[in-house]
Amino acid sequence: MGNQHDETLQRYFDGELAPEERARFEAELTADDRERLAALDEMHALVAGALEGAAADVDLWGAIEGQVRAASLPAPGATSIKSAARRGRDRARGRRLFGTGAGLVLAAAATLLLFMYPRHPNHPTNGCDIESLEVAGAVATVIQVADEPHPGDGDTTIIWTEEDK
Amino acid sequence: MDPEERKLLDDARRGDAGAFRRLVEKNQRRAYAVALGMVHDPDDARDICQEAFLKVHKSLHTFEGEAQFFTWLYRIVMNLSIDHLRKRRGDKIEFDEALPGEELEDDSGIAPRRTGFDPQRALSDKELRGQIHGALAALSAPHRAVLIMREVEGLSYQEMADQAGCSIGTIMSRLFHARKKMQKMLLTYRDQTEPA
Repeated sequence: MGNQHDETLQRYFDGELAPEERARFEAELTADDRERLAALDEMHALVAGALEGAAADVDLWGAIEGQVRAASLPAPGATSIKSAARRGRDRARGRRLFGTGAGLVLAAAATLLLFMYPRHPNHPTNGCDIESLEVAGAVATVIQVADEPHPGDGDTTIIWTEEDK
Repeated sequence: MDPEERKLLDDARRGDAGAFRRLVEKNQRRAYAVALGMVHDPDDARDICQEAFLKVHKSLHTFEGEAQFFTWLYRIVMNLSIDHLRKRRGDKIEFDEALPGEELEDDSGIAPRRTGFDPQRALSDKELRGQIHGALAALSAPHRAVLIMREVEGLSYQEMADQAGCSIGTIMSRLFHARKKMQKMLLTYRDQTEPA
C-alpha cells in the first residue's frame, strides 16, 4: 500500500481510527487530503449507486416461491392440532382395520376347520359345528345353507362378519 | 436485529411462507447488488441469490438470531459468488493471500481528483452504470470482493478480514489498490467521454 499518510487517510475515511487518533488526524488535514477524501467519497457513491441501481427492479420471490412453499415447515401449533386430529383418525382407522382383519382371519380359520373336520356323529347336534364365535370389532353371523344341487355333500357353513358400528 | 425482522424470522421458522417472502423482498436488492458486483452477469447474480435464499430457508432453524439476518445472507451470497467465479474461470482464486505484484505497483495514493460524475446518474444512467460495472470487472476478484464489502455493505476491516480469511493488513492493502485502480479507470472514462 502507499505511505503511512495514505494508510491513515484511508483508515480515517473508513472510520477505522480510534477517536483520539481521528481528532488528531482531522486537525492536520490539508487541502490535498480533503480532495482525496472527496474523491473517495465520490467513488463510494458511484460504486454503491451503480450496483443498487442495477438491483432496483430485482424480484426473486417468483423464482423461489414454489420451492419455498414446498419445503416450508408446518407451524408447530398447527402441527400439534393437525397431528392430534390425524393421530385420532389413524387410531380409529387402525382399530377398524384390525377388527375387520381379525374377524376375517377367524372366519377363514373356522371355515377351514369345518372342511378339515367334517361333522362327526358325536358332535353337538345343534345343526352347526360352531357353538360360538367372537370377533373383535365385528358382528359375526353363522349361516348354514343346504347344498340342494348336491345332496349328500352336507351343508355349507357361511360365517358373515360385519364391521361393528 | 430489528423487531420486525425478528418476527418475520420467527414466523418463517414456523413455516410461514409469507413471512419468508417479506424477508426475501426486504433483502433481495442488497444481495443482488453484492452478487452482481462479484460476477457481473445479471443472470448468474440472480441464480446465486436464488440459491442463497433457498439455502437460508433450509437453514432457518440453525440461525441463532444474534447476528443481523443480512450479514448471514451476505456471507452465503459472497461464498456462492466466489465459488461461481472459481468454477467459471477454472482458475485458482485465492482470497486469503497477498496478491502477487501489488507491491510492485506505483506507490502513489488516491489521486486528489474527482470524476465529477453525479452519483445519482449511477442509479439511472445505464451507460455510466455499465462503465462502473466494467471497471469493477477489470479488478481482480479479491480486489473486487473487498471493494464491494466496503463500498456496498460498509463492513469494517475486521469483518472483511473474517469474511476473506486474511489479515486486516491484507484487507487494507487490497482496498487501497482496488480504489486506486477504480479511480484510474473512471478518470480515464471521464476524460474520454467528457473532455473538459
